[in-house]
Amino acid sequence: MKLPLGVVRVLLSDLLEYGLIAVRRPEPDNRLPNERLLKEVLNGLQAL
Amino acid sequence: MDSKRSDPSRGAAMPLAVKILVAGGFGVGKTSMVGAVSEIRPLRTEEQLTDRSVGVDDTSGVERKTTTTVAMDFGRITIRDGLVLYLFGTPGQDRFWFMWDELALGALGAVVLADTRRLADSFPSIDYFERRRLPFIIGVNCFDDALRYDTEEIRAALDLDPKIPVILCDVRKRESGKQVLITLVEHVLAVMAERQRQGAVAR
Repeated sequence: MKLPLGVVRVLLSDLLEYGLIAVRRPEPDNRLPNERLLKEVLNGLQAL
Repeated sequence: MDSKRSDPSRGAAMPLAVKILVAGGFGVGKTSMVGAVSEIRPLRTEEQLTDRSVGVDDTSGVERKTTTTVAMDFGRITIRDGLVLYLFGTPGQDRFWFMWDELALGALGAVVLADTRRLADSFPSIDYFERRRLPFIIGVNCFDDALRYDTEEIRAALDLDPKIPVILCDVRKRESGKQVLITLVEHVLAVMAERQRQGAVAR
């Protein structure tokens, strides 16, 4: 599909309006670092 | 966060880095806290407050404040070889809000510093972290000339979730700053456990 981005946007929004596609928003940015790393940080801080 | 790659000839692994933000209103002690706990002389971007900031930066209640952080503070604590904790003090002035998203990216959690004389100044930071679902705690910086309140009074005034820790501190003291960071990391662990439980229930 060699279409300009603007055209694709219009197409997609039309498809959305007719209920032919669904939009899923990305998960909110709530990734947390792993527990082991956090515990290590905690121990390190306590040892300071 | 991009960090400079270490000398490739030595083949050293990229050190693990965790990031903590220090936020709060103008003049609440963010720069002092980063300075007190950092092992390096913090990178500071302080400038003298000049007449140009009159009416822009509100120093009411903190009249002795003569400098302000222009962009941010940056400090470092080495946990062990290959694991470092970075502290980023957010700029206190409203006009630097645009930097917050960049700063918050990948952060473990945040400390919102509060001054009992100007408690309302902490609301924008609290709102921001609540919206982003970034775990945070409140550190109440006990200024010498401020009235003392207990943490429950402050929690009520800030309308905080009972699970969010509120602790009193003196950010000029390294030990006190360290305690604040420990409380935050413990809170982040509790939040993670809670989210995992909720995730398990949802499935």
